Amino acid sequence: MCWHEMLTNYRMKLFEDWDTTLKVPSLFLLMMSMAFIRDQRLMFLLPSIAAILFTTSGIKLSLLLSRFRAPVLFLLFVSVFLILFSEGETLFRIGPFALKSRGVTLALNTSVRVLCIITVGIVMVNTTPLAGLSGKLQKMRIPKILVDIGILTGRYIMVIGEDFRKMRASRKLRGYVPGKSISQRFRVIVPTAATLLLRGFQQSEMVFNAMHMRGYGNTVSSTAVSDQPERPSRFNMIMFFSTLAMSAVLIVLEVSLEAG
Amino acid sequence: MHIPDGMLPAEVCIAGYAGTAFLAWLSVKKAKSTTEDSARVVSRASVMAAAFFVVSWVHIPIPPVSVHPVLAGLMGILLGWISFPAILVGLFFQAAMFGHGGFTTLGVNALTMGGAALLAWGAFRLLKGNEKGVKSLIPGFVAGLTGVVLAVVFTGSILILTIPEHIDAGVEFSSILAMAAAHLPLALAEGVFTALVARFLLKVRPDVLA
Repeated sequence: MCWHEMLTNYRMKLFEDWDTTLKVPSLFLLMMSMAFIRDQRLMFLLPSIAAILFTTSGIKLSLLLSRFRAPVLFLLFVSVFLILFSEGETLFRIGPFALKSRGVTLALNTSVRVLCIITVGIVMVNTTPLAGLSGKLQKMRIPKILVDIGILTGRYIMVIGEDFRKMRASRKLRGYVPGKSISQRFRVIVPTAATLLLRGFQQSEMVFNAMHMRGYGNTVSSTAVSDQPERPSRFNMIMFFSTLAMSAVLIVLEVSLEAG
Repeated sequence: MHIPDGMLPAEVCIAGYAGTAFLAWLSVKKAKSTTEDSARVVSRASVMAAAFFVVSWVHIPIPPVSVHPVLAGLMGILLGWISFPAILVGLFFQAAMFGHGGFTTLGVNALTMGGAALLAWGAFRLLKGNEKGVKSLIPGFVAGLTGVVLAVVFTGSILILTIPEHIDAGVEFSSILAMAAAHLPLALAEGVFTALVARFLLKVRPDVLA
């Protein structure tokens, strides 16, 4: 293992060791305070905070870039809308389109905010271990029914994809090939999808009952919710309060600049 | 159709979470009052949440954007009240696993999509009767179509009314219309799909419909 890999693993571990029940609320609050920023003078702070968190998390750049794909398309669309349809001074014209200076500023600010908040979100999700997550989510007062749906959905995403693949293969083997016209396609796709859903309902009921019979949600294990509140370690408190401080600074600066 | 992180002001995101918390609480309460079998409720919601997640991988190009099936109407008619928490969980997975939507905007996205699913279910229940033949397809078609159109109109309205500060009102209204028009082919396709699935399920297992 080279030194670079060792450093990355150490940084990953630093964030993974940060208790989920403290990490998720504090990073979420940070994301919300970033969403609160509207003043252009504060925009440079957002990439700085996002960069610090991203580099200390040890997450690969390729992962970050792959997660930017979906929002960037949306962002481009909104930016073009803002640049073209904002009121105010015209920067220059391209044929019938007038590019507005206020629109350019708004588009830039929005882009910075979007990319920085997404980066923090990626750090939050990708450094949160799945082991014992259900207990921790309940500890964070997330309703049990939502946690149960979430856990089962996570398991079922793979199953539903695999079932779909198998049904498509068996349908082809039996000669049910969707035709070129839309009505022919619907005639094949609809019963397949409906059967898949019915089968899914039956299977997931069995899985959920089996999970309960094995003790899911009933017993208190080392990872489940404990009645005795655990005392957070010094490391956890430092991480928690430094993230809260960043959020507080952002909110205070925005409010004071707005008032001034 | 999902609003990413950073697009909306924090106040709107907080209001979205408040609305989502209320609707999720109401949905769970109503679902519990209509059925005592919690395993059934949870398992069905999970399957539909997984389906909601999986269909967002299917991209249909409608230049200059690409759209994906929503299934809000189908979720509404299959799950009823519990469609709201199922959509909330599905949206969380989409945000966490491939960055569709976001965490700060999760509340707003759940309100637009989940609200559309609940209204589509309401439309389905209003129209559902004992019709035979082509008429039996109408409630499902309306539910499927309503699910997409309402989700688009809600999302478009929130986006356009909250982000830009100095944009002409006429342009805002035209943009909402243009967004809805771009999703019309998808809405029609989902209407037909939902109608056919609903008819199939009414024949085979009518008890699964909410």
